[in-house]
Amino acid sequence: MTFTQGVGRAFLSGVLCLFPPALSARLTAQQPRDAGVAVSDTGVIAGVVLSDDAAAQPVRRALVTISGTGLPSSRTAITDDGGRFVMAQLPAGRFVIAVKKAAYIPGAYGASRPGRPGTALALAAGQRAEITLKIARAAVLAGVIRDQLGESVPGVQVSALKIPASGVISNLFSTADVVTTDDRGAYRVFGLLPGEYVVAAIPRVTGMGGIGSRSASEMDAMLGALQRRTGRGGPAIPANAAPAPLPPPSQSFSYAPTYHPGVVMFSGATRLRLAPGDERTGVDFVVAPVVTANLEGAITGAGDALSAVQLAIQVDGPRVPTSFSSSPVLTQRPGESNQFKYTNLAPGRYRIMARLARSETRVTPPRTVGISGGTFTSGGQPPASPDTLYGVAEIDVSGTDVTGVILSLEPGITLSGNVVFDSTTTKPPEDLSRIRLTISPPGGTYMSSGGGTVVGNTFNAVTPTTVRSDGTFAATGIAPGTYLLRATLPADLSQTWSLQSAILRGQDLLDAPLDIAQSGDLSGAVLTFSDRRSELSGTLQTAAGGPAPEYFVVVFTSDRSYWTPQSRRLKTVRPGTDGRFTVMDLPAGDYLIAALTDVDPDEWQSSAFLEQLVQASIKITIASGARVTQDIRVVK
Amino acid sequence: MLARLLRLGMFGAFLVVLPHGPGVQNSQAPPTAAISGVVVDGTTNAPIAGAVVSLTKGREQVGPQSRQLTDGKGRYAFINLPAGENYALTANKFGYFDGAYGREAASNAPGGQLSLADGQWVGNARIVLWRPAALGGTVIDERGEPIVNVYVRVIAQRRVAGATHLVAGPSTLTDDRGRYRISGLRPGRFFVSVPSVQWSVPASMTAAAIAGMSEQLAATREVPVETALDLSASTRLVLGNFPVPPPPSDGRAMAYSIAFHPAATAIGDATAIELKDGEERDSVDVRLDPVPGAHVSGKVQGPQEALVNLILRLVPAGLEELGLGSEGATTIVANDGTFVFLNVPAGAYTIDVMRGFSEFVERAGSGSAMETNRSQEFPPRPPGTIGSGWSSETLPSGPAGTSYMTRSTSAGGRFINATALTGRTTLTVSGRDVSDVAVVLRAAGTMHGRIVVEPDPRQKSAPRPQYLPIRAEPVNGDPRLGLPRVEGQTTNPDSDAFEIFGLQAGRYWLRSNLPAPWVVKSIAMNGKDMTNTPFDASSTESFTGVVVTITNGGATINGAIADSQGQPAAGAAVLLFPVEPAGWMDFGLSPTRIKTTSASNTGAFEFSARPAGDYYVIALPARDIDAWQGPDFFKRASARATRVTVGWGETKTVDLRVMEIK
Repeated sequence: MTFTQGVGRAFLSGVLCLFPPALSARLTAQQPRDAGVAVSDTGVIAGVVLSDDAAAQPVRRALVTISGTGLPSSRTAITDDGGRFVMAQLPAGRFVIAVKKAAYIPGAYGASRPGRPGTALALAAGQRAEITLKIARAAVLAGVIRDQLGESVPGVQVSALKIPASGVISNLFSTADVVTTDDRGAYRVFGLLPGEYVVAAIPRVTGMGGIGSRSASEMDAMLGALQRRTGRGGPAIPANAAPAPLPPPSQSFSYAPTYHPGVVMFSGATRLRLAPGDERTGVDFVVAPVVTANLEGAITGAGDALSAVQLAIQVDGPRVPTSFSSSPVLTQRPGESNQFKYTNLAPGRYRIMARLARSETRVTPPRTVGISGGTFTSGGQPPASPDTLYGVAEIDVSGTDVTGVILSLEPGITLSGNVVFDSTTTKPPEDLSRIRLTISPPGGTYMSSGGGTVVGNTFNAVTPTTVRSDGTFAATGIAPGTYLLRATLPADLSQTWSLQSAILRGQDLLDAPLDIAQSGDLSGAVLTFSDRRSELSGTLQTAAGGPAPEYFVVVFTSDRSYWTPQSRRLKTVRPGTDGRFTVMDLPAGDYLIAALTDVDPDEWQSSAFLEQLVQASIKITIASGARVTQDIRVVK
Repeated sequence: MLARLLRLGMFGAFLVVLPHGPGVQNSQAPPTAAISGVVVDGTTNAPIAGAVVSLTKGREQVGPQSRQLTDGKGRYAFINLPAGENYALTANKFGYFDGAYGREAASNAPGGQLSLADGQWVGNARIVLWRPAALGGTVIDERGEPIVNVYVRVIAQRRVAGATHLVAGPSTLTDDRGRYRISGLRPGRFFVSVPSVQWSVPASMTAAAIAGMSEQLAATREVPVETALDLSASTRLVLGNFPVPPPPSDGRAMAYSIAFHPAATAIGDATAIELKDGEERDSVDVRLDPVPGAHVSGKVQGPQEALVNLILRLVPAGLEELGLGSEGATTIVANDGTFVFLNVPAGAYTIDVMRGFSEFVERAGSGSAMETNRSQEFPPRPPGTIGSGWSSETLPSGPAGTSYMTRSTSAGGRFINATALTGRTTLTVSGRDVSDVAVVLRAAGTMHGRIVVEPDPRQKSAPRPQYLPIRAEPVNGDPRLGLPRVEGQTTNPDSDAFEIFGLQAGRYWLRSNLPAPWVVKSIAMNGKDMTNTPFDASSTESFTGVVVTITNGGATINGAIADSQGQPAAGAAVLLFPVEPAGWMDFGLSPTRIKTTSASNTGAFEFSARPAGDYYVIALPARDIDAWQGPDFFKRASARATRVTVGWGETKTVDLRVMEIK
């Protein structure tokens, strides 16, 4: 790691932001291409693709793709048995060069390490550039899935779930590498990028609800009782009618999604860290039926509207692709009494929410439609209104029946406030009712339903709120939960204005999610829009004074309370070949700038990593909407 | 039973059909009947522990404890059951095909039903499970190096509609060592192939269009950019999960042909693999050698509107029955009708122009308990396919696990009559470019007619069926003839008229798979009785004045079956078939006069809602329920079967003994 020392001082300037040409080149890749080749297009980029390891062997059949200015669409070449490729008839320009091959990490020209962004290659008219591209093998995860009897489990879906830098895990399965175990229960996931992984197996069994089970001795007793009742073996009709019913199986099981090393709760899953080329075999685990439990409780505060109360249930951890066999089943819904009952709950932490929409709202009937990889249900949700009531409970379940859960219905929360416009030059928009506010949980809302049981956080969906013409707003009927706030402006306004802050009780809602508990309405939120975007720019130089494009620039707030993944106060940027860098839209505040030879996309936002940078950083202050220039020089 | 699901929109889209809530039985006295039994392995007869046994009654789960795990001795017991007739038992276990009570082979037969009297204990309800077969190997190139992340697919040979057909089997991708393994196979004869489709697209095509996205859609989400090679000024070659060829040699583009185990490029030269129940086969390797590719160009002649976004398939000889993914090459026709296939390996081909591609398919595993990963499923959508839909149905006249699948594409964002215009041309490529290939589009045949509903006054009145599904089935099932049907499959319930499009040159049955008690009574074409005669669309392009008469007065044949000791033959198979030998072949996909069923636990059986006529009926061991699909079975069975003549609305009762037909 290289640390930096500041040169020059911060001053306000009017420097324009320059996007690296590589970005715009990607966009032009979709344009129709011109088949003709200009006479002047005589540039050549040729080279060899080598494996990125100590042995550095040529890689054959790799696909080298270049795109850039002057090329209407990208071009691809295949490496020969010596790993060599040639791209001829190129115009002068700057080219981004990517290389890929199955089971390898996609590479790029100029990348500091496997999987990192590359740099553009500048090619003069008629120039021949000889380059070397390195490509590293991706990681492999492999193992065998067995059942509780030690037998292999074929045909089960196994997912390698990459833990994102943001830590938001709700959508992990949507981007997972998925394979199916073969007839020997073996799975192998390859082509994995470096990072931290959790392995999940999703067994699917026909039907809904729990699976009963008797031990061999219970079965002996059961068959013995049947024999005594029917008079010795085989089909027979008892002489004595109306014998007492026999006891049902004592325990109920289900096949639940299971994580390595064999747990059904995501929190117990092993996190496997994979480096390039790692081949992690023996990631074996057991998928066994787990003891399920029932959960019983009551609704309070519904008055005489019990039959209108809706229930939704959600389990902690990532959203698992729908598997009805392992989902909770709502076997008793409130209506005739205030009691409700769920069966078939695998161990886990559950969040149960009740909703009572009291006002006359039109409910569109739920419509389940198929999409690739699962189902979602649309409709069926009356928009939240001021008098919607909610009750919520979080319960840990682990194999034992739970009773006495009380869902106490309370009014939804109202979040209110007003919007202001911060500008010295531009007039605020006249029609404020064109501004819409969206309030939604960090991972969005989802819902699946089967047999009358609703699974998901669908009651946390909040109808978008329109700002009133006097600039005030009120989002009503919000269920308890965690939310992010966004403002949507019509296109003509969004070019000028952007949301700079959303202050509620001294906290900026743009920096941390809003945690809404059932503790009264939230009023006085101030949403400030500004017509000025802050801009930090500068040049990164070597000790000798030349450009230093091989480094990464990290800009981060000095306030450690904002060191959270996906914070808008943490940014990283790669300088262009001329050493210039630009960072837009940092909120006002004190910042630190560091330059590094490498930035791990999964790690750089962590507190531990940023803490290491503090000592070797330059301190700057960015005022609201200010343009700040900061040149930095790298000293070895 | 014919289940048809129509799916439109995204490839691989699927519907989840939910069971109803648990059916809770309420009666005065607590019910006390019981069913118990054991789940065993069909090959070893060993009990299977940890299997999930499900009890249903009339297709609904029975009570809150309708599913049970078998104990260490493979045993299960359902108790406290009310009396009733239509109980059914199924069993699932990872690594086995789904089983059912009364199903004695790795088939999809529904199995036998159980009837229970008050307090009765059926204590011997055995369920047999069969292990699937599997095969695996390595895919290597001309240097012996493994080929990573390419499709491998099995192609099965199966009897469907009384003829031998190729069936597109399950597929997988090779791993980082070039290895593959395909499991979940039913016994049979297989070819292992590594598909390699040379996907050509016009050079002017945008990334969004290649990905099959509209420009509006592309504006809102990331457009996947396919890797494409520039092999000509006007056309590009898109590389999918097919083997990456070597770079051009001496200016000649190189290509890998579709390959078969062990190193063949034509199915006729491939080595077939025979697998028995649960058999495993290793080292089924495939070796690929690159060959020079040739350009094949020409023009499609047809109305302008038929050329919009038209995909052409260049299908290797011997694979004509297979659908998407089995081509040597595909391309997209330019608006003036011209086309270029890039990089075509030497071989004999058919150019096929269609909007709908039909084939027989079979999936790995048994479906419900062993879901496969759909995202890896073959075939990939060819580049430039704007919108696609597919429909799939199980086949009464094919082996278990086989279904009939049609994929269709749209033009200009709108689905068009899938088979209205078709064209077909054969050619041979031998390393040199081929130009000026002409493909002439031909209008497909149509049929117009009406349906006469003729309720039988002797029967209790039944509501007229909501839908009257009418379709034409190729007599030998040939997928190239398609499955022309009433558009949208939904006729106007207030109209008696129907109209079928897309008849190809060939012989078809006119069929209607009606919900019981409705059955087709007669079919008349221009006054001629065609009830039991297929029609020929080779010479006639338009059929009019067709009258299909349906009735609720079908015939019923029932009885009891005894085994060789004279005991009730629980779960025995029963086969009903017509007496005339003409009905023993070319019987189409859903023969109305050939039916199988399984006897209940008391040996009772019933065929209802059948056409009147002369039939043979024979009882067979449960394991032989699909044996009739084999060659000459009807001839052998007819010698020992019982002849029954039954009229409309009549019920005939015959008692049978189980026969072994060698």
